[in-house]
Amino acid sequence: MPFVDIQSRLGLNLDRWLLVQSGEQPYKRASRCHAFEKEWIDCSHGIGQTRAQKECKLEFEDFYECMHRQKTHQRLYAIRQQRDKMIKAGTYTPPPHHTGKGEESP
Amino acid sequence: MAGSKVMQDMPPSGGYAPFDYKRNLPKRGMSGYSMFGIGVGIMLFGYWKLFKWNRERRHLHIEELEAKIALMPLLQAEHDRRTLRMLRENLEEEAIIMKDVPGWKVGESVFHTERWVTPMSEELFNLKPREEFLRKRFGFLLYV
Repeated sequence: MPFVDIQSRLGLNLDRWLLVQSGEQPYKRASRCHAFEKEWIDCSHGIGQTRAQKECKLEFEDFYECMHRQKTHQRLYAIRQQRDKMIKAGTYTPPPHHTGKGEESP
Repeated sequence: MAGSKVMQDMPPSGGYAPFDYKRNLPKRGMSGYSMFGIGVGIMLFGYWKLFKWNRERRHLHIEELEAKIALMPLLQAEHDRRTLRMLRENLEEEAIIMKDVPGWKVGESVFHTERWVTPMSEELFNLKPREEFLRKRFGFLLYV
């Protein structure tokens, strides 16, 4: 209800059917994006979709990035491409711990 | 017909021994009720064994969980040290590799938040040989 919050007035919780990663998980193991999802839901709860899309942009982008890791993959790919280019040009040799000969101590 | 003694096939003297010709269907075996009871009894015994073993399995499972909890600080600390070491190495290599790329901020986080985000294995094993990444990802199998 937009102006009358019946759920908190009557002490009900009718949103238990909504399945979120931040809900109860078996063995209490948190999901990978639990924090991001929680932040986004806390930001955008109760203010309606239009307002939420404007005001919770950062949280939503973080949550989306956590789930899909698009920017992460792009960044890693760029680093890899640059490294391969430099190796081909001969300006860079990878250190031993990046060629499989390093000692993995801890 | 003059009473001459002819050899005939006659019964023995005194007659044959008696034999039973009447039908003989004796009542034997258990009654239906008692068989039913025995079946139910076996089932109840089976249930009792099952419940006892399930309780024992629950105790064993709890023991395994407690062992995991006891070992968790050590293993978590080792894992964290390893993660941080790999992140540090990656950061230094990234600084070396990307120094000529215009507009690149070394160690820039892709997130807007300042929270610690647990790195993925792709990030940790990015500059390592691919087989190490695959071993990390698919090496340990829970199934056989």
